[in-house]
Amino acid sequence: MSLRTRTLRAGTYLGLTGLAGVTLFPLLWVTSIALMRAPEAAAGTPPLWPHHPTLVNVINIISRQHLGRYFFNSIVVATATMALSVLVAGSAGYALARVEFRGRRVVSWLVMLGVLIPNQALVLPLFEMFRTVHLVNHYAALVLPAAANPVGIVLVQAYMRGIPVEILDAARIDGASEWRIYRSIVVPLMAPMLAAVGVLVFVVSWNDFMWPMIAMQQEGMQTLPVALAAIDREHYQDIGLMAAGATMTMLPMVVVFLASQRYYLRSVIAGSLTD
Amino acid sequence: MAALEIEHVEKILRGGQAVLRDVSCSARDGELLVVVGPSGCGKSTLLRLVAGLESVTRGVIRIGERTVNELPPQQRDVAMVFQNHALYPHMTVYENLAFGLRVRGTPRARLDQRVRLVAAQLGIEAMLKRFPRELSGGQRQRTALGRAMLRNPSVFLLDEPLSSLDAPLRAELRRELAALHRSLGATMVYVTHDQSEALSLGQRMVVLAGGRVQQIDTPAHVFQRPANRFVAGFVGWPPMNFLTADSFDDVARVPAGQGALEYGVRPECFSARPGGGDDLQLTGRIERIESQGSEWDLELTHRLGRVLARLRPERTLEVGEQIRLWVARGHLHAFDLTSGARVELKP
Amino acid sequence: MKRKRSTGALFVLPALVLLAVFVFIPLIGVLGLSLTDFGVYSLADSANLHVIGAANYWHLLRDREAWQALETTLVVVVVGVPATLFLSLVSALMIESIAERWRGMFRTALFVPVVCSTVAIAISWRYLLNTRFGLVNHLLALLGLGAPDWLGSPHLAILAITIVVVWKGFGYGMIIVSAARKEIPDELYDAARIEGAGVHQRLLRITVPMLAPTLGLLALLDVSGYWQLFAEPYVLTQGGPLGSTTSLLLLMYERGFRWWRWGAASAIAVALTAVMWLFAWVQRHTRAGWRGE
Repeated sequence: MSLRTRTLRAGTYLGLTGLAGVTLFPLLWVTSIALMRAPEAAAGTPPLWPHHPTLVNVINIISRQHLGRYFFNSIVVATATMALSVLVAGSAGYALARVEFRGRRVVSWLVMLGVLIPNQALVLPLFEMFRTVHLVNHYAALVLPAAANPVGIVLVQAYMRGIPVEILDAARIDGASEWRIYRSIVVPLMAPMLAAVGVLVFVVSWNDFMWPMIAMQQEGMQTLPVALAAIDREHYQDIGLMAAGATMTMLPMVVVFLASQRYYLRSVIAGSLTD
Repeated sequence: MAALEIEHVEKILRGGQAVLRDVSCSARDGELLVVVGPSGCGKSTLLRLVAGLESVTRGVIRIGERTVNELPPQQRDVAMVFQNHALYPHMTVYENLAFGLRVRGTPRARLDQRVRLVAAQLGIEAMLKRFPRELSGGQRQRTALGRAMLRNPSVFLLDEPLSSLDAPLRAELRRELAALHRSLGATMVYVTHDQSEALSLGQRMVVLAGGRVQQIDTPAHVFQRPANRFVAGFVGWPPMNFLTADSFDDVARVPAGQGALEYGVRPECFSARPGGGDDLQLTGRIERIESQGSEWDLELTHRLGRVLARLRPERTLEVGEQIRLWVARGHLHAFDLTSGARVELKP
Repeated sequence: MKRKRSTGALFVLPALVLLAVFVFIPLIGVLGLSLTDFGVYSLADSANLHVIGAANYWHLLRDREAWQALETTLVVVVVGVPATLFLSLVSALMIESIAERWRGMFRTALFVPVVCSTVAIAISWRYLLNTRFGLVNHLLALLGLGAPDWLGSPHLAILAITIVVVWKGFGYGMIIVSAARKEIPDELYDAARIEGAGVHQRLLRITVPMLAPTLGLLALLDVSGYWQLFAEPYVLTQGGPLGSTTSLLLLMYERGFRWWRWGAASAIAVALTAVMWLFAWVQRHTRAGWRGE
């Protein structure tokens, strides 16, 4: 190996380590502050590491700011959104890719159009709609709009196109009904992509901010990021408390991501190939 | 078991493109009918029409006494084997075999017994717990075949079932398939693009090109008396030589008086010595010599064009040498220049 | 076969209903609202609602705040997107060039910010950028480089927000570029080496051109993401100082839900959507050129 190649390789590892430091450090630092006692956290530049790790900030934000309640809301909303999205996107994506029916092209086109509509631009009429039917401050106000997820449909549709049509033909000749084909053949075959869409939707729903802030104004109904932003406006001086809140908002998604990395990254990559 | 009849079937796509035009053919009860043609000739479409995976534009398809045009696939009592085997990837071999019976509500004990019987017949009983991805190409295709057999259908439809396999395995499975056909006594329609497969396997063969039936006959007849220029060129390897001329013979013993025709001779029909007084003669210069093992391929320039001859010469031949070859009169084919139809030569 | 047809429609029906109710009807709704003077009074009593045609749009054209918000958003897009693309590309190529067993670790490390809540990220960065105890200035002080007031001065605040956005976003593109890089056949590099191409030439003549379509698509994804900038300024600066970090969406939110001027807010939403479609159209066009279609 030439000196040049060796330098290049060493430089690559060095560069990557540096970048990883830049991405990870802020997250680790905030976690570390969350574990510090108030005087330590507030004294000039806080030390990198808590000398006397404590859970007092975590306990404070849970007991005084009711973070547990918001945590629960986020879990309910993200789980319901995930389940509904997967159900809806699964069947629609399959039908658009592999079942012939009148109007399929129009529906496909509408879905593609849906991908191009920034949903944050729709919050005004959405709010008016939910206000009219008295569903503001209900979980449904967050779950239903998020389940109208054209990206999920496109992902499933593209994945389904990669599965040989002969497998479905074989099942048809085997005498299976359309519903049986969907249940016994299609769903197991789509499972990896359904998992990918599910994880993606879960994380996006958990982190969503603008619409949940608008739709959940009643005390106690907010999701974690919305509540966090509200607490922040009042308590931003309490760095330990806010660090604990931020950590508790981020950490679950980091764990979800680490546990389902394979599926999560699949949805990211597939999203770039379907266009 | 039942006969299959296809009468005046047409398939025209939505864009107006005709895939099949006035196709009629039939498979008798228990017959193995091979449909052969180049890619894009419409042979797979024909099979999918019979299966009910696509619908005919015009014409009638009958299985046994029933007209099946309007029936969905599951009611047609057919089974199909696909080129890429189309096994359900998330099911074991056992579940793949059992699926069709299961959706029909077959009792568990009977289902199990049938699955094991068929698996034993095909020699895959040791594979029942495996998934398709853990099987070799041959085992996959056997499983696909087993899935079809379990249905016990009136008609088996096989869409290039062997073309994804390598040559030795293909030959082996071809023999097994022929034996299976005999033991099941089943009606089978076998689609392939490989003319040698069609010749070796079929009881009768349908040659399809451009969406039209070119010829239906036994392999021997198709080979010996091709109905037109296309069939003559498509069936047999290396392909037949074609020369356009008023006459074929160099020594003027012409099958005369018919005007210009396209004459055809198969490469292996030439011989290096006269076989009888009636033989036709042909002289050419050797351009290229290629060994095929026990035989030699000679490429000649003749006054009418290039000719390929495959023979077993008695002496060493050199490139550039003039050589005289003989063809028995019975091995000469002739075709009309415009229509391409076979012309019977006067003796 | 008729049965099959209706089954297909049944399968897409739930999706179609959800899309219609929560995407297409609101889209028409926001268009409609933008042509009215919908506001606090019409929320109470719809008799106070008037159709005023394109007036909201004319106002928007003469609205200094709107122009400033446009400028702010464009700065984040124009500075942030190339920076993000560059980091995505470089990190992906670096990751693809190292030994297999280290790749997963680095990939995870660089991707983690993508899955974190923007609100939580913004709060964390506000402490990092704090002038009194923030680690960024502490680091700059160690290097002997002053102590800028990141979130207090208009120019630096928008820069700070751009940095946070890029920091959070580039890992996403890295995954996509990384997947596209894997698709380039090794034979291409072998052939280039045999023809004498060095590291740099292989990078510039093979890798980058082969990745161009992917980068083009990624540019669109990044542009449409940054174009919808909202949570970062909302938490970090509340749009300040002096409105210097008020993005278009933040302006829409404030007009809509703080001042209840829905007509004006809807006009911003429509303009935002229209510009995004323009981006998509331009991207599709240039990409067709690349592929020679």
